[in-house]
This record gives sequence, C-alpha cells and structure tokens, in this order.
Amino acid sequence: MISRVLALALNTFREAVRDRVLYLLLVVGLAAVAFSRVLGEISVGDQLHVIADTGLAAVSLLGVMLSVFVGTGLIYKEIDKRTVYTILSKPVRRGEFILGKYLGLVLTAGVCMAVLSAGFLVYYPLHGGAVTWPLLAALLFSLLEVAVIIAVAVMFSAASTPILSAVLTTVVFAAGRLSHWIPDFMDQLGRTRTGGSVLQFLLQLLYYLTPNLGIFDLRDAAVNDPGRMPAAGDLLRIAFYGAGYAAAMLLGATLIFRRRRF
Amino acid sequence: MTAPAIAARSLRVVYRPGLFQRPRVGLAGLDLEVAGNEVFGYVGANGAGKTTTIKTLVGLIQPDGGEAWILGQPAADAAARSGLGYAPENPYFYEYLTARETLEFYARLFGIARAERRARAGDLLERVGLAPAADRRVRQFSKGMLQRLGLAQAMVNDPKVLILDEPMTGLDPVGRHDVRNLILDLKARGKTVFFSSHILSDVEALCDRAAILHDGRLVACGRLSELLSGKTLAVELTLAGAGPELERQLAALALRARRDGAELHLAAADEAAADELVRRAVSGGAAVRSLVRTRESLEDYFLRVRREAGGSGAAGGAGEGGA
Amino acid sequence: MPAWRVRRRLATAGLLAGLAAAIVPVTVLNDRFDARRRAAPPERVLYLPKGDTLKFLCLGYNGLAADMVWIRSAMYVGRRLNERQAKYEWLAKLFQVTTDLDPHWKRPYRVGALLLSALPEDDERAVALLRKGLDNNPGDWEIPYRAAQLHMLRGRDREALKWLTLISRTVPDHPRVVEATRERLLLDGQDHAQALALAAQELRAGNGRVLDSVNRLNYREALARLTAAELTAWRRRCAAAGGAQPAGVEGLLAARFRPSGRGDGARELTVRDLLRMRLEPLVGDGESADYCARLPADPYGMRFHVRQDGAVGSEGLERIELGRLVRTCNFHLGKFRELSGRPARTLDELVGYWRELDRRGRLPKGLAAIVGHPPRMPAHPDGSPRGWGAVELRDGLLVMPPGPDVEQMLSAPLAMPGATPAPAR
Repeated sequence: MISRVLALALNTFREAVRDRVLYLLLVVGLAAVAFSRVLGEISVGDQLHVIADTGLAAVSLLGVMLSVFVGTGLIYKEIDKRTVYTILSKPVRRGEFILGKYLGLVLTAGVCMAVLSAGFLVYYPLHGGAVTWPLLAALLFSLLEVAVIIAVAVMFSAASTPILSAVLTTVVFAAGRLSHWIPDFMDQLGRTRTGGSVLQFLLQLLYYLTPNLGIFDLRDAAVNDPGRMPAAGDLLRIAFYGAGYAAAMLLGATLIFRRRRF
Repeated sequence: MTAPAIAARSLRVVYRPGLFQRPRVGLAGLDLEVAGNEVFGYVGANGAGKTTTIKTLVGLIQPDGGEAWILGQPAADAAARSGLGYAPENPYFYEYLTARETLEFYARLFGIARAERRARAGDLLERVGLAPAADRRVRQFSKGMLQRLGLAQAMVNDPKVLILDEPMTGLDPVGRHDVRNLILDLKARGKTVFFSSHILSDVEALCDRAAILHDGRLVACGRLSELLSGKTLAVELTLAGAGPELERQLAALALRARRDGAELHLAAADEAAADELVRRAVSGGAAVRSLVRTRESLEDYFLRVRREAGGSGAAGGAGEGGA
Repeated sequence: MPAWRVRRRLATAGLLAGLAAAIVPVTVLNDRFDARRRAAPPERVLYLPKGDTLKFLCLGYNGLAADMVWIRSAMYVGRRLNERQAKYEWLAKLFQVTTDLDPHWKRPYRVGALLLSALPEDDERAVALLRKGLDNNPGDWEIPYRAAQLHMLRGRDREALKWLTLISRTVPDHPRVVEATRERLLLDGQDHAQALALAAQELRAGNGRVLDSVNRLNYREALARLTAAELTAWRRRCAAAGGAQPAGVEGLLAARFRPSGRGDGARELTVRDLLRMRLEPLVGDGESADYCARLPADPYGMRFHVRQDGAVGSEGLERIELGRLVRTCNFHLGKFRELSGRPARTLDELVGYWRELDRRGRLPKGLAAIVGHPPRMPAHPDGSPRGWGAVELRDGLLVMPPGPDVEQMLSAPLAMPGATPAPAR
C-alpha cells in the first residue's frame, strides 16, 4: 500500500508544482517579505517586529492559499480530465488515492513554505533579527496548520466542484481561526441572555466541528516573548490534534469518494 | 474447473442524475461470461450500456444490483484488478509526463520494481509503436498516439485479462491494423481480450464470441458462427453492355438495379433468381462482370436484432451514461 | 496587401486608439479622487473599528494588523507634528487598537504613553495605557517604569513611587535602578527610614554593583537625615519635658528616656540606645551599634551639631549641600564675569544678575526652584542667617570654607559588611 500511496503522492507533487498559481504566490510572498523592511522603517524603531510579522504571515498565507487554490482544484481536475480512469482501474483503493493526493499536496505546500521561510530566515538576520527556536517552531506549526486545511480542502473537493470547494474551505479556515473565541462568545451570550439555548448548542457544535486553528499560532512567542512558548508536551498535543482532525477529514473524503461513480 | 476470465450475474446499474430527473437504467440485469484465452466483442448502439458494463467490471462504478468477477475475484475488490488491464475510450494522462514516465508511473502502482519498470516501459512502447516518441511529453501526443499509450498502459502488468473500450476509435487505418494485430498477438499469448466497438467488421474479424447490448440488456450472445445464419441475403450481379430494353427487363426481376456509367448493378433475392438474371442477361447480349453472394454480416444481424428488440436507436436509452 | 488584411489592421488600430482614449479619463478621474481624498479632514479617512472587532476580522493575523495600525499611528503623528494647532483626538484610540490587536507587543505601550503625555499632554490616558500594558504583561518592568518616569516628569513623586514599588514587589528580574530611584524619591519625600532600609538592603544584596555607589550615597544621606531628624525630635522632647537642654549633641545622646510603649516597668535608656533600637530594624544590629557608638560622628566623617534654629544637623550633609550651592553660584558668577567683563564683588551682584535673568524670562526652572521668585540668595545649609557671610568671594568666585573635600566625602567607602566595593579582579 505504501508504495502506491507514495507513487501517487510524488505524482501529485509533480503535477501541483506545474501550476503557475504556485509560483505567483511564491513571488508575491517573497516580495511581501522584502517590502516589509520599507514598512518597518516607518515603524518607529521596531523594524524587526514588522519584518517578523510579515514573514510569518506570508508563509502562513502562502500555505493557506495554496490549499484553497491549488488543492481544491486538483482532485476535480483529475475527475474532469479523466486521469482517474487509468488510476482507479488499477489495484488502487480509493482511500489510497485520497491519501496519496493529500500527501502530495502537503509536500507541495511544505516545499513552497520552506522556500519562502528560507528567504525570510535569510532576510531577517540581515536586519538584525535572531533566528530562535520559537521562530522556527512558529514556521513549522504554520505548516501543520496548513496540513489540516489541506485535509479539509481534499474532503470538499472529493465531493464538489472547485469553486464550491474553494469557498467552503475558505469558510472553514476562517471559522477555524475564530474558533477559539467561541467559548468567550458563549460566556458573553450566557451572561446577557438567559434564552437562546438552541444558539448555545449550535455554537458548541460549531466549536467542536471546526478545526481549532488558533492553537497552531506560535507567533506571539516567536515575535514578542519567548516565554510564551508552549512546553514540548503541549506542542506534541497540538500536533496530535492536527493529525486527528486531518485524519477525520481524510476518512470522510474516502467515504465520499468511494461512493462516487466515474 | 477454472473460473471464467470475466463473469457478471444480474448486474444492475441505475443512474440517478438529480433530484428532479427520473432515474435511468444503465444496465438491467446483465448476465455475461467470458472464458479464458478468448477474444470477446461487445457491441451496442450509443447509450446501450457498453461503457457502463466495462466501468463496472473495472471498478469505476459500483453496481446497484448483481455481481461481477474478474478471474474469480469480485470486481469491487481492488485486488481483482492486479491481473486486469483496462484501456479507456479516449484515454487521458498527465500531460507533463513523457510516455515512458507515464508507463513507469503505472507500473509503480502495481508494485513493480524499478529495473523491471524501466524494462517493461521500453518493451511496451516498442510493441505499440511509440518507441520514437518515448521521451516526448504526453501533451504533444496526437489522438492516435494517446490511444496507443492507452493500450500500452493496459498491458503494463502483463495482465491475463484485458478490457478495452473502443480500442479502434480515432485511429487511422494503419493504427487500426496495428491494434488488430496486437489483439491477435495477445490471444496467441494466452490472454483474454474483451473489447467494445462500433466497428462491426473488426468484431467480425477478430472475435471468437460476441454479445449485443440493447437498452441495458443483453439481446444476443454467443459464437459468431452461431449468431450469424449462413443464409444468403442477396446475390449481386454486375453487367456490362446492357441495352435499355434489357435493363428494364432485368430490373423488373431483380430486387434492386443501379446503373453506373457503362455498368449495370443488379441484386437478386437468391441463387435461383440470380441464375435467371444471368441467363437473360447473357442471352440479351450483356457480359457478366461479377457475381457475388452476400451473407448476413454482423451489421445486418445487429440491425435485425435491434429491430426485433423494439425501438430505433433514438428512443429508449439516452446517451452513454455515467460520464 | 489584400483588402481583408487592410481591414484587420485598421480594426487593430481602432482598438488601440480606443484603449488610449479610455486611459485618459481613468487617470484624470483617479487624480481627482485622490485630490479630494487628501483635501478631506484626515479624521474622516481614519475609520477604525473597535479593537475587538478588528481582532475578529484579522482571522488570526493580529500581529500584522497591529503593525499596520502602528504604522498608521506613526503617520498620523508625523502629519500633525507639522501642523501648528494640532489636535490628537484619535491618538489614544489608535494605541488602544494596536494594543488590543497584539497585547504582548510591549513597545506600543511605552512609546504610546510617551506620545500621549508629550503631544496632547493627556497623562491620564497615558497612564491608563501603561496600566493596560502591565496587566497584559505582568513580567515586564519597562512599562511600569515608564509610568513612574511620567509621574516624576510631572513632579508627582508619590505616584511615581507607587509604580516603582509595584515593580520591586511584583516583577522579578528587574534592574536595580528601580530601587535606586525609589531611594531617591523616598529621600526627597522625607521618608528617610524607608530610604535607609532600602539602601541597606540593596547594599547587602550586592546586586547591580554598578549602582552600589548610588546606594552608598543614598544610604549615607538617609542615615544622616534620619539621625538628624531623630535627634532633633529628642531635643524637642527634652525641651517639652521641662528642665535644662542638654549641652550639645553629646549631652543629648546621654539624656535618658523611657522607651515609649513598653510600660512603666521598663528602665530608662539613653538617647543613644534608643537611636540604636530605632536603626536596628533598618540597617541591622551590628551596623546600628557601630554607628551609634561613633556618634556624634556623622556618616561623612564630620559631626552632628546643634544649629542656630535649635535643630540637630549633620555637618557633612550641610557641607555637601553648600558645595552644590557654591558650584551653582560659581557657574552663574562665571557668566556674570563674561557678560560684565569684571568679577563680581559682592553676592548682591549675583542676585542682581539672577533678577535680570528673571526679568527677561530666562531664569532656568531648576535655578528658580532653588532661589525662588523673585530670586534671592538661598538659605545657607547650616540654617544660620549669617552663613553666607562666612563664605568668601575671591576673585569673583565663591570659595568653600576650609574643610574636607566634598567629593571625597561623597565617595568614601562605607564601613558596612557587603557594602564596600569588591576589589577589582
């Protein structure tokens, strides 16, 4: 099974790397990092803060946009262009196909984010910044977050058209980023209104269904205060959460994909 | 007793296009058996369900009822396909790969080792006549080249059973000749070949057995020699130098008459009628240029069977489903 | 050329012309929109939702959003600095939003408070911002230190002291300059006991050796002032209790009193002992005993004496203060000499010079605090009305009366365990 998954993953990587959108995003990302220095100069002495923030945000956004624009189209393209015919008629299980696609996309995103990160990690020390372990961890966990979003993108694109998948993936991403505020919001709601238990239930449901993406954000520790870095145990737990959510998405994708007729 | 190469029992596929459209039956209870080392032709009008059958056998579609087996294993299992080769109609590949890379990729999906992959790719490209284009990117391929590559990838695992969907489509006469030879070659190597086709002359020429599909049902299946009656359909007579008077006389007796410059073509209902026409023609001063007996061809049989089954091609099954 | 090709070329030319024609109004209109935008009062351009809303909208990219708002703030301030009657209505809100978006980014609190107090002079909001900064970053010392600095700048020493004490108590790993500043504020606020205790503690801990010299200075000064105050109080009690005033400081030290709050059974103690008891909790047993044994010697190697106004004073402290005053006066005497071309002959000429400065509005604030309004000779540190008479004016400059060198007095090592500077390695 592994060799098939690997073959599909590498093939997906090769295919994704052909997409010109990818290079465009990369160039924009690099330009943003370079430009941040200019912004930093207006920033009353905290140039490093701006460069660091821009670098981290650029890497994260690059990954997210890759997931949405390249990821959602990939499976649809296979179906639309019928390249699936010659693959699924081989002894390849549908789940292996999904997993191979997923891993290929994660590899693609990883490579792109690594390239942009490398650019940033060269640029940052040139302006006096220190490459610390929290900074590297923040970049790594950005990738983990993107891996979760790619799983969501794969699930949606196994079920629907690229545009719909892109929209839904973006919505889930936004919801995921805001997810960790739902408990606060629920508290506020509880304090101001006694009714609305249906709303409370829905919010609770939303909280568990959407990926809690806020926990992958190590930016604060990387840029502001290394003391805020979570302990190694907590980092591991975050990674496990991500893996679990991604696995759920991929299983869902497999279930959907198994029922599809080609 | 060894299992048949391909088997289907009560195979049923229903298409449900949408909430507001009626479901359409793609296959209505198909029973089929293809023995080993056999060339089997699968014939039907557009929308009869040929591609649906093939996709079900190959695992692209899950049937709504019934079962199918490949070499004794359920077609729904991925494992069944390790001894199977499938060439889709109008095959598509990853455009940026070369022909060689494509074959090596598919070989990898079978778990074939690297050295072996390379060897097989080269070998298969030779066999399908793509060796000169082996390292060209697929996106530059013409339709005929794609079709050949489709066949090559179907053989990459040296399968015992090959299922080909319209293998001759889009090929020029040279290509069709090559594919014919390939199928015969595969049969000589002991493979089973199951293919669907519109080109009935190919089916007639290549197949041991054939089946005709109409509106999702099998309306005929068996050895060609059994299907086609030996009955004479007509005898065709070509004369030269026939005068108008003679022409009129002969036309009255014949089924059909047609003048083509100096020649007159006549069709007689049977041998006896033909003899009569010949005697009158010769005695009338015309010369016999050719005399040909036509038997019922597969095409004739096909049209006959369809007529009997009811409905022309336009009514009943809509376009080929599932795509 | 065939006709169809000609037509095609013409069509292409037509399309290009149309394109060029379309660009013109687009650019012109764009310029006009831009001009209108610039002419509008900037406040209308600057619409910012609440910090919480914005936090929501950023989808987690808060840091970057905070940077953007911060840069906007810099541009806001920059633009207004060029205007005469600038009003900084939105400044507080800009900082509020920045810090809401990235609460752990510490610079905006500090710089923001600085700007709020400097530009619109809104100290209240400045301090509120710093308080918010401290709430969000409890381990940071720079933010509350900025608050203390702000208060000190405005002369609100007590408030500043509160902030500094907060730092001492709640923020680990803060620099010892906080304690040194506290000592100075306590001294200035006449809380000599606390100043002394703090200085003693700092010296004993030996942290921040850089500041040991400052601590020693403060220690000495606190000790001298505290002793002087205590002895003055005891002297007054002697007077109130009736009977003769003891002779000088030695006599005072030998006077006997019953220590308060210990009931009638306790025996009487000398003032010297009582003083020792008073100092013990502040500087430690040994030091207290040592020091009190050497009384009436003061911490500067001179003596405590009874002044003309009846209070007890430290000669050393008075000499130091005199030295500072003499230095200030000499500076201005030098200016006088430059301006008038001859050395001053009397101190009245110096006062006259100050009055002239004051008339012209050029009297430095710091000097005004010392010499008053209208300027006159400040009181002599030893409290005697004739004190300045003893100070010689030689060649237009004041000369210190004979005695120990002030600098040496200030920097002499302290006989306190752990308080002497470590030998250079």
